[in-house]
Amino acid sequence: MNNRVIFIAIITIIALGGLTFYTFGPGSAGHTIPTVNPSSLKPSPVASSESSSTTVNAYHNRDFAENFYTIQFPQAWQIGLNHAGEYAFTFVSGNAKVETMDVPDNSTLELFVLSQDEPKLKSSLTEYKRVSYQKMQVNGNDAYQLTYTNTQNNIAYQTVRTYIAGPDKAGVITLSSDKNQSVQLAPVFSSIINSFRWEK
Amino acid sequence: MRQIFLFVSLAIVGFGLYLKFFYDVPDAQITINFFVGWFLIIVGVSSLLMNIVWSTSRKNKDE
Repeated sequence: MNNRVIFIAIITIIALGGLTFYTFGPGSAGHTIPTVNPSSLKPSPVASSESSSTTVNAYHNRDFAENFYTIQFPQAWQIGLNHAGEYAFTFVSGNAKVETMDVPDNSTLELFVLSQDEPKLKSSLTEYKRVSYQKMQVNGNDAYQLTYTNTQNNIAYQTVRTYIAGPDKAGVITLSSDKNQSVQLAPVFSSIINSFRWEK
Repeated sequence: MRQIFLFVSLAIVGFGLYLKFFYDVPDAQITINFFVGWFLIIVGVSSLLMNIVWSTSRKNKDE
């Protein structure tokens, strides 16, 4: 066998070994698991308008290329630990989360919501009950809104889960509150959902 | 025989490049996609090189 062929074979084996070590070896998590961009965690205060009684912060998420977005949450809400592409908040009577979700290429967002995500919610939540489902538009993007109730520790919660179609992934805003507070919080939830924008 | 080997090598490189740059990777498969994409590119390119080097050296021998 030609010496140069043997040399190429040896180089290939070394390269494959290096690739395996780089991908699965110690310290591989840093380059394969998406990390939070520090600028995503710096909210910018939004000037409160006279019509709105709640002061809000705008969060500009810059974690995933092609999936940059901006969303506004009330300043009083407590931000929790979050993973790349998402924010979690807690407030007096509930919690909120915004995240990006992968929709498979062979599915549409609506099909994904009805055939994959809702069944998952049904099986994971206690006493899941759909209240409503509607198609809507959020800043020019197709969106699907699922409202449901469930119980947790004997407390009834009502959740508004909105899926917003995006250029690559879908944006998912989940806003949960004590069922008794849901009517009062509806305008706040609505303003959060309508503040969501995909950015370039 | 050489043409078949060349075609298979090109197909391997092509599929590796497709996985790397065009395939919409689900979040849960990022690591495996990274590995398989690069694996195919490395194996495909090296087999192309081997093919070229080997056939060149055989031509030289024949002459």
